[in-house]
Amino acid sequence: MRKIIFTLIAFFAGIGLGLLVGWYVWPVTYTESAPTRMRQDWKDEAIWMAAQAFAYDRDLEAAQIRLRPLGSNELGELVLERAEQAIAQNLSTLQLAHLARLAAALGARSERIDPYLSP
Amino acid sequence: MKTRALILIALVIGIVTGLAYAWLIAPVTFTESSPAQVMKAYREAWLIMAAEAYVQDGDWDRTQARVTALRDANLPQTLTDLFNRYQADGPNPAARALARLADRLNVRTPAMQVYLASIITPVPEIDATTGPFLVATSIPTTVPSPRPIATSTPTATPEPPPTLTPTATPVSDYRVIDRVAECTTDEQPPQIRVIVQDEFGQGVPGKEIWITWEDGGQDRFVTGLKPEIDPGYGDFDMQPDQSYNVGVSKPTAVIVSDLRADPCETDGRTSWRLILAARTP
Repeated sequence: MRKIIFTLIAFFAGIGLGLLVGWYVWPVTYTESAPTRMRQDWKDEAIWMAAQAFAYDRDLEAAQIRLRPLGSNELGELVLERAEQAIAQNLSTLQLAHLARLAAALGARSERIDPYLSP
Repeated sequence: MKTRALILIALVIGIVTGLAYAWLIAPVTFTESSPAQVMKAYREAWLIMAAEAYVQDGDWDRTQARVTALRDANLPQTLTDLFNRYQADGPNPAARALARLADRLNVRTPAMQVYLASIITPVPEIDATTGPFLVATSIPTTVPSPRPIATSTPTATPEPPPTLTPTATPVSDYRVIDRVAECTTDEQPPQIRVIVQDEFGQGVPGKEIWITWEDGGQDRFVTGLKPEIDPGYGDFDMQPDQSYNVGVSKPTAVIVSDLRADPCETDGRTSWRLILAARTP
């Protein structure tokens, strides 16, 4: 009886040790994860970069390809939302203009953002 | 002894079971990954966006932060591979931006050098009225430019220097967002190559750029005569052993000074590439 108890204790202690190692010490690391899993501030940075890149190359198709992996079907709304967030963050007129122009090119406009299309 | 062995076996089976559960059945999922952890295709897109954004706004600190976020231990190779892939399709904005970013990171390949040089291929042009070294090299076929008309009656009066045209635009409206020394081979004259951009990063044609030098000499050129390079591009042939200043709109409003066509470490002399951008309010 004692032998069984010790065996069971050892088994469950082993499970606990395995979980500790598998979850905290050497957890599974994903190196090829989807961009949708990026932290929100990195997604914001990506949207801003896409807007800057669009200001440089004027390639709307490329901008769509760059924004689509971020996980939104409404790309215009995604950029518009970022532009409105940029207003709240007091970003420069130029940065807002880039975002506003990309949003407009993607068919999304708002009264709040429109003034930045031609600042 | 038998009991100890049994306990040990139970412990090992427990550890294996725990690990299997933690790694295979219910692994930790990170919903907040960084650009370094996303799939390769998007990491490449990130790098291209960072390069294009850098060319667009010249913000090197931010560009460095963006590139560093990729945590790419072999960034020079990644940049080179990406550049090679894009430039294979011929000149395009992404390849140009990657070449610029690589150049800033001191990553240079012959293909990149050729690509950078091809962006600003000088077309030497000699103007008899001002001498071979004071002429902004331009392609008059793209935008008509006033040309001197030779007359049969020589005159002793030297041609007056270009008239200063006061404009409403003060030089403080512009800032230097990029200043790069480039090595020009002996076959090409060293040049000052200027791209003027508006506050949105678009090239501004028709902008008057003044070049002045040490002994009081001055000349000017207008941007936009080589739209195939950039709408806001213009260039000027430099003379060795001369120090030049660059101003926008008027010669006294110097924005960059002391540009010299010093000899390069390899063959050729130093040309200067300047990107001037309108200040934002």
